[in-house]
Amino acid sequence: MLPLVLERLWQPRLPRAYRPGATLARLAQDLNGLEVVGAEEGCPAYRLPAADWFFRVEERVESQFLLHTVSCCFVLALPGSAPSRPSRLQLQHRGNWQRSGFACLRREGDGAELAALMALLQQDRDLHIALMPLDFKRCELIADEQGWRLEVEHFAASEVVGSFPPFRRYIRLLSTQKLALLAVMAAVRRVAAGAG
Amino acid sequence: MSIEKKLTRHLQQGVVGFPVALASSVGVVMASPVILTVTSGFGMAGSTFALAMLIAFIMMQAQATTFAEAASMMPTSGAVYDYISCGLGRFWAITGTISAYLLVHVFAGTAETILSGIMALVNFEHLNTMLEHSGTSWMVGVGLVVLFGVLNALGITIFGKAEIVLTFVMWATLTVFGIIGLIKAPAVSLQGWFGSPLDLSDASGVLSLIGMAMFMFVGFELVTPLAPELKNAGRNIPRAAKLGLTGVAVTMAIYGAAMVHQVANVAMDPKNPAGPHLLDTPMAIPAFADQVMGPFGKIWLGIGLLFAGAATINTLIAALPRILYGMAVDGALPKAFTYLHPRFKTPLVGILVAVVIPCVHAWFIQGDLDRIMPLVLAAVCAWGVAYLLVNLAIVRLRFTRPDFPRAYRSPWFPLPQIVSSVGILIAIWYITPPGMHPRDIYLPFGIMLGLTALYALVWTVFVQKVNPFRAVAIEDILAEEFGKVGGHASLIDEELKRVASGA
Repeated sequence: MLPLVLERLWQPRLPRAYRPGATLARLAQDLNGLEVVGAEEGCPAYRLPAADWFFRVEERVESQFLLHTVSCCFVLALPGSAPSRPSRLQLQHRGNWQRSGFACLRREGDGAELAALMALLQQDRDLHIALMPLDFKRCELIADEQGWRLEVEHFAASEVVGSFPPFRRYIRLLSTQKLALLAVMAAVRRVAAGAG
Repeated sequence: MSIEKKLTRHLQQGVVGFPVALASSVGVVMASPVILTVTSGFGMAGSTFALAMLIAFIMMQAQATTFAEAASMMPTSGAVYDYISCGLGRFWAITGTISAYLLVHVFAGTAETILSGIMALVNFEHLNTMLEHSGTSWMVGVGLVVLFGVLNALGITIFGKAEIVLTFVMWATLTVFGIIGLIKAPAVSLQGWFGSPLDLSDASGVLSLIGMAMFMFVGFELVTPLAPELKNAGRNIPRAAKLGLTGVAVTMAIYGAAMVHQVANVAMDPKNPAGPHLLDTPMAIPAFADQVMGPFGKIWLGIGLLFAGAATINTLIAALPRILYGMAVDGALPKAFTYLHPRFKTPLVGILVAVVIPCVHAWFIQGDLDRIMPLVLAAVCAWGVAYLLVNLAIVRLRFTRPDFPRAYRSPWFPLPQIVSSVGILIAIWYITPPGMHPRDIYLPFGIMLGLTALYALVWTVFVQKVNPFRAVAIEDILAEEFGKVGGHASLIDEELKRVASGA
């Protein structure tokens, strides 16, 4: 009886105050100027006017005690063929106190196979310019059987909900951050297409 | 589309049901300062404290209707900041928001820091004796704050998976101890259900307990920002607030009654009967646990309180920096609060502030337990000020913007606003319970509020360069919320087109 109760209690569950889609609805207001091109499983897709590519946004919930945060994860499908085995490249700012550039780190996958793409990403000047002002928590290129995709989780465009003291606060995505985010997507997409 | 139509459409998108609203309206009942407040309140005044609880309960119900109306007019992320900006101007908005978030952290956070370690340790006799001897048991809480500060700075989060378990264990602990304490034969001969009988001979005695009782209901207003997403918000918000507040009141009443039934409120120093009594101190916790369940009860309660304290501290350290980041993005705080560490992507300045405030404060008062209740009451004053400003803002908007659409209207206007405002003013005026010096509460609160007001004035006049007392138009707040960035809209469109063509 007790193990069953404990198992039920330990199983992953969403926070009680989590409202699916609420943060995405807030974000929609920050993404003014973009076209909505549909929604799959509650995750809207956006497109720049006149652009031929689009990105999806998903909610990512992180629970803490009496508190949870909901971040928006921007997912962009990238052109080019997938590598022979699952791969993951992480883009990360360099520096101890100030951002001094960015590094492209291989977290998963064949080093030799990914070397060319990593070098292209690392050297791309437009990507460098776009990434520097962006307050991203996570920026990764992930490859699986469906191909490459870019996932960016931003610090803003998130909601923090707590009970003590009580609050519910959405941290908005500034226009400059939105533009930087779009520029990163455009640059990574171009580099990925170039790498084949 | 007009702002009114957009607001109506926004409010019609409600997807959240009543259970979520109810869950959101139940605050925290296991935070150490809340437990100590309830224990002290019932120990000090018994049935008279129960009456104060009832008055605070009614006040909070009235306050809930104001929050609900504000949320239905301005379903924005800025919440308190936006409500007060539209009603009274940016000066009061910054003062009220900092008072609600930062000052509460200064006072209640410090109380939690000091108490979390002490209240857990008192249940473990040997360890407590050792640390008490050196006078450092309060340092356990400081250690927890620093630990969670470092973990948060490194981007490491814990307690994620344990939320449901901890919440369940905490509620179960309080309820089980309360019910057993009531069922068991009383160890104390009582004159009334809650201890000492109702005493109405001195009205100020009752009024002085309302502030303490208010502290019990912290957290209920979390339901109000749900207004835009709630199905049938007009009916569900007051219902959820009423049920949530009732749930907290009943749990605490059971716990308090059980405590006074099982633990005699003897003077800590027999030679000084007018001095502190057992129920005023954390020592009442192990005495109660021992009486209800013996040594096992002490271990259970000790571990429960340690986890509760650690989790609450972690929540404060994790949440406050994000709020400060959001306020800095909105322009209410310096840009330094938007700084993120290059690699960990954590708001270091905010984390530093969240850690330094309670630690320095706890160190400054050397973890003195006699200073805990004044800190809690100062936190009540800070909350009260924020509530008052929201009340004033909403009342003013009823007169200045009577035509503005409201999906929920506070019933019997302005009676609820008068009830809660007058109640809060009385609670603040009479906040000092017998045996406590008013200076210990008003001085720290007054200084902090004064500094906050000074900051708000300097910031609005010299940095934001706006009239600090001119109310902001609701349409401006909503336009920003709904995505139109004023006159910059075309500029942004241009930028987007440029990025698109570059792609």
